[in-house]
Amino acid sequence: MPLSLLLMVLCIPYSAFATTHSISSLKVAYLYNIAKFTQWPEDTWLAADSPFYFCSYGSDDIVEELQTLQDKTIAGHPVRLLQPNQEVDFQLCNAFYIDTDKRTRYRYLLSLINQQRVLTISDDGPFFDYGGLINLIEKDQRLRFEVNTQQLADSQLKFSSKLLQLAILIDSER
Amino acid sequence: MKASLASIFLFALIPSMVMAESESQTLSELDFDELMQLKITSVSKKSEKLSEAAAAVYVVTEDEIRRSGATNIPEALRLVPGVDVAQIDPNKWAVSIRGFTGRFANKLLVLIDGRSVYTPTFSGVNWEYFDYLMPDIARIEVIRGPGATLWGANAVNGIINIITREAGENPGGLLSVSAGNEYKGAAIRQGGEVSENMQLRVYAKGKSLDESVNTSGEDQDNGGDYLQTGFRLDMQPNDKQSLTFQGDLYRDDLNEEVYLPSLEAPYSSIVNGDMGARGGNVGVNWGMLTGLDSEVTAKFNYEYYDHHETLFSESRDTFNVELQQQFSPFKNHDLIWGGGYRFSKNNFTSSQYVSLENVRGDSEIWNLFVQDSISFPDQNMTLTLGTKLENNNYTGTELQPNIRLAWVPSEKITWWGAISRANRTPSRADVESTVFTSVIEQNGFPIVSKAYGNKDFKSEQLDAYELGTRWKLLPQLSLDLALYYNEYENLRSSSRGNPYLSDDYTYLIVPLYLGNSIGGHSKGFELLMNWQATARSRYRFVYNYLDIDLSDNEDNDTSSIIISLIEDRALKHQVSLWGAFDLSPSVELDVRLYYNAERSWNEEKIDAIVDADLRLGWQATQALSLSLVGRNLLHSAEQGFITEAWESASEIERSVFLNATLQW
Repeated sequence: MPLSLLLMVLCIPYSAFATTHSISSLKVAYLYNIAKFTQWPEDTWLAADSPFYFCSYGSDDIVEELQTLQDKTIAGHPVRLLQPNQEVDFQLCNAFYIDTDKRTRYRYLLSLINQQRVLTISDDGPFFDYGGLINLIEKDQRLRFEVNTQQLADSQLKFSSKLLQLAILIDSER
Repeated sequence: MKASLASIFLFALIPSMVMAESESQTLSELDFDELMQLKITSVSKKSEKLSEAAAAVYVVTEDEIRRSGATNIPEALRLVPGVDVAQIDPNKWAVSIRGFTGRFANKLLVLIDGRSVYTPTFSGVNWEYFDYLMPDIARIEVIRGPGATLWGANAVNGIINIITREAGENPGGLLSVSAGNEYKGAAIRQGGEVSENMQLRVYAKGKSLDESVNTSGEDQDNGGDYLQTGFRLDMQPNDKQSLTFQGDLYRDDLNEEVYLPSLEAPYSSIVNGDMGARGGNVGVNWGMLTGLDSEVTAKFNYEYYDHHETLFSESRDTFNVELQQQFSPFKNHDLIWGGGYRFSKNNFTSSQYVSLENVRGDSEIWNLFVQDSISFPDQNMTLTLGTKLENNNYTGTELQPNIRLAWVPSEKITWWGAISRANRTPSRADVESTVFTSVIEQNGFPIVSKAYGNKDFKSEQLDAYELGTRWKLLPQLSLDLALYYNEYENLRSSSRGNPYLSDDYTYLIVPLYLGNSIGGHSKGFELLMNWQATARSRYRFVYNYLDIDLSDNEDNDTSSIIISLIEDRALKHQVSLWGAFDLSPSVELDVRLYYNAERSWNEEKIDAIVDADLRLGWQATQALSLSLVGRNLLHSAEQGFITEAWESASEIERSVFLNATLQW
């Protein structure tokens, strides 16, 4: 009987896969690691204990998961998470993650920051068209990241050679 | 049957549960080389977040559309919580939410990129005319329950909002070819950048549907040929503005089998006829960000169609303009307000079976709405208050308010409740139709039933009370439950008038007059469970329960037939299980099992049924993907729906097709 056949298919045991990683926590781990291998201009911080502002915009899982970076340090500065709701607050950002669902706002949001000094990241969006720097993508069942080389050349940020080795370099010059 | 079915579904959920704890802390400790080794699931490409909306919302994602193997929109809506999708014949569909299903289901609002495709002739949606290229659909938002405040007229029992992808989202080309026993189709799309801030997509598709069989298993003459083409142009003139132009053209040549009453013995016959349409639409959407959380949008669109079927033909031109603004006037307030105007011009060609009093009928609707969402961050609550003032040329000005509350005590759980009112505005048919419904014979003398529209037809009204929760029980297991109690008033009814002899004294006419005397309530729930069993397998379980209880305030001998049409033709129980498996990184298997309870009306009955759909997809190379799709696999042919008029009963046959898609 076909029904029982179907049920057998439905019950194929998949015990071989022991753990599943929450995709958003993996993405946040990427954001953290990318930031760790990035160098900001010397005059970015006024004091040694000034906070590193990790900004985000939107309400996806990654924005929520970013909270786990609260007690860490990036570039020697304590991480402070910020979801700006005033235009002026965007001036504080050192790194900036934008929710993919907010793609219609990419250009507007990027116009609020000093793009040369902020690590901008999105997740699987047409981000580079608007001047974004890093884009997370999935490839061959692994998470990878793309770097917009044109944007990087224009910015005052420096990526470590290790970061550039791991990145998928995209020349968005058109 | 019910008990054994429940055990089947439970059984399918048993495989050992492997759960991983929250691990973001530990993941951040890993270095890059280790992170890069981690495998990620591709069953769900996008990370999921529980919706905090104070409404029963389900979003059919791009992934789900592909994995369902859907070739049209109704197929993509099958198995969605709360939605009843029934196929009438190869071309016609009956789709509704929370009951009242019918080909002219009049309590459901359907929007395509914000454009209402609800037609005010009979009310309802001509599903056959929206033959979009499925990979160009970004998502389908399905809202159960009233949404009249924001969405507008006739969003009574639910809203289906079809959203196509921005042209910039899928640059490049696609060629898709399908062939099978019931369905053959081909489609081509090319997208690309016109200039730095302008992206264009153009598509064309065609399909051919095979005939179904009648209840005796004989072939019917009701296949169809479809052609559709269209474009979408997205522009970003500057940082703050966006502009979209889009349009479609279609041409469908279909056949149908119609059951006609007749004045001569045997007083009814089955007739083959043509059906079809030429139509198109063009629209422009403009949006401007005026601040961080404020936006102004305006849209205009024009739509026309020329539709004919065996019993009538009609043409319609519709103009629609809308303006809305969203902003935050004070801290914690998110205000949205706007208005719209819609003008629709209709020309109707009557037949002896269906006629409207006037050839031309215009409908005009304007509306103003305002809604404020007030958040209380300390209580984790959001209160939404809104109302819409709507005017139509039949029933004047009506108010459709709603109040909603969402409480999100933790990121794992959302509770919500809502009370809302919505109206279904009269259609032309309600007001001015004459429909020759049936003929019976008594002592060799024909007695004809004719239904007459009512100039004073009122809007049907719903007051809905809803309560729901969305709960992430475990990182891999989530639950969504929505309960509702709907109170209906002024539903369409009929009553019998005094019989009179026809002008030529050859038959007796029994007039049926439409009224608004049926009322009552429905209650039910929708349960959705999503379980990511392993990185490569996912199960989705849906159970819908619906109980409708109506009565006629002016009870007469037609009441029970009209009420039964709503009460007994609706599915009391719907159960489905969708297993999505990644057999390897390039092979996907989807098995969809569903159970529909029985439908009955007026001596017709469709038994409860268990059926299955299957899709096997293989990404052969980066450019080429192949899939094999099977539908209604457990039966060679099965009747999907009982229509209230005209269509003769059809059985939808088991269907299998193979698709090859090339992308560049």
